[in-house]
Amino acid sequence: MSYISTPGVSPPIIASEASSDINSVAVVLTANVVYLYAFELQAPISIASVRWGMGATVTGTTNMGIYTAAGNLVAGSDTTAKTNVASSANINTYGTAVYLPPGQYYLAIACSNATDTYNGKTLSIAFSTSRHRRGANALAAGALPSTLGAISTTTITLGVAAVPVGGLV
Amino acid sequence: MSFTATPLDGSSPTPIPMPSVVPDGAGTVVALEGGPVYSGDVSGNKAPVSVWTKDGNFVTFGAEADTAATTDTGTFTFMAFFKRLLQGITTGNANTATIVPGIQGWIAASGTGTATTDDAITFANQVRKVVLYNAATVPVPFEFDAVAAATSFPIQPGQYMVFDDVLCTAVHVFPSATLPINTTAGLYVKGWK
Repeated sequence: MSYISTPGVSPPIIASEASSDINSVAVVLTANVVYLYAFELQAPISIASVRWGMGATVTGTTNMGIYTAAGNLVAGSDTTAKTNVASSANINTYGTAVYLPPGQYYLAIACSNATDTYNGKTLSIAFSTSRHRRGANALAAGALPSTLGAISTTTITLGVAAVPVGGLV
Repeated sequence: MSFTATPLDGSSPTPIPMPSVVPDGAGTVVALEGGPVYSGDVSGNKAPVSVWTKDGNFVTFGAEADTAATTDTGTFTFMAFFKRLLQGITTGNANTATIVPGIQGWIAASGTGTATTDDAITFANQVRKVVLYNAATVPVPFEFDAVAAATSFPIQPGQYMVFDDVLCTAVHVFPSATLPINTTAGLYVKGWK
């Protein structure tokens, strides 16, 4: 019997909107900790860029990347250490778009210091009721770890995004 | 040339000479081969004689070494026509999907997905069932055994299609960008008889 599946529609942006659509740009991170935002894909896409929002204080660098649900770094997704730009959306455009087949992933972000201020929210309790988590393995020598290690809840929820090829400007 | 004695039937006291022949090129006289008693004979005392015709002596039938006929209606020997028939069956077995389709042993499809051109992804044999999965990030227009164009029916990114009873030998695609075939980030094309 013939069969045709109904594919999912590619998203124009993958974003932690609950944390980014607020007027809060004072969240500080624990240095080198990899913070995560879980997302899923119904259709294959190629990620053209990743983005994060910065507040007024910037002296360090940010790495962003993408991990599989199993906690493995997707090849070519580590932005390497990017100097933070104050009070703006920071955008890293990949030289080669990062291909992602349908599946579950983590959008990852880590800062080199504990003083730079980010767009996001700091919660009083590390709830497990959202898509935000953190990995056990740390940023080192300006590179994201190849695996996340144990994943746990966090009080830090950051405004991060990934934009597919042909997605939002 | 000298000949051996005529074979006798072994009866006693006077053996009777048997019908015999001399094989070509030999001096030995041997008895003719006979079949069993002809069952249709009421008396039960008649038997047929084996017949042998030298290869090629039956002009219409032909010889063992005759080459296959090149047309269905030309002037050829029976042997030549028969070889042509066998060739047709062999070709048919290779190109025609089996009557009962199965899911084991998919037929490989190969080809190159060159951007903005009609690309034939060809199966090793004709297939009845085709499975397509688009792991690319763009829609891929396609056709079965026909030239594909940008306006052909597309398979969407992430879409999975199974077609039965297509009886095709090639899936044609018209990708907007270079399209890997049967590998990561590309179009997967599998076929079954």
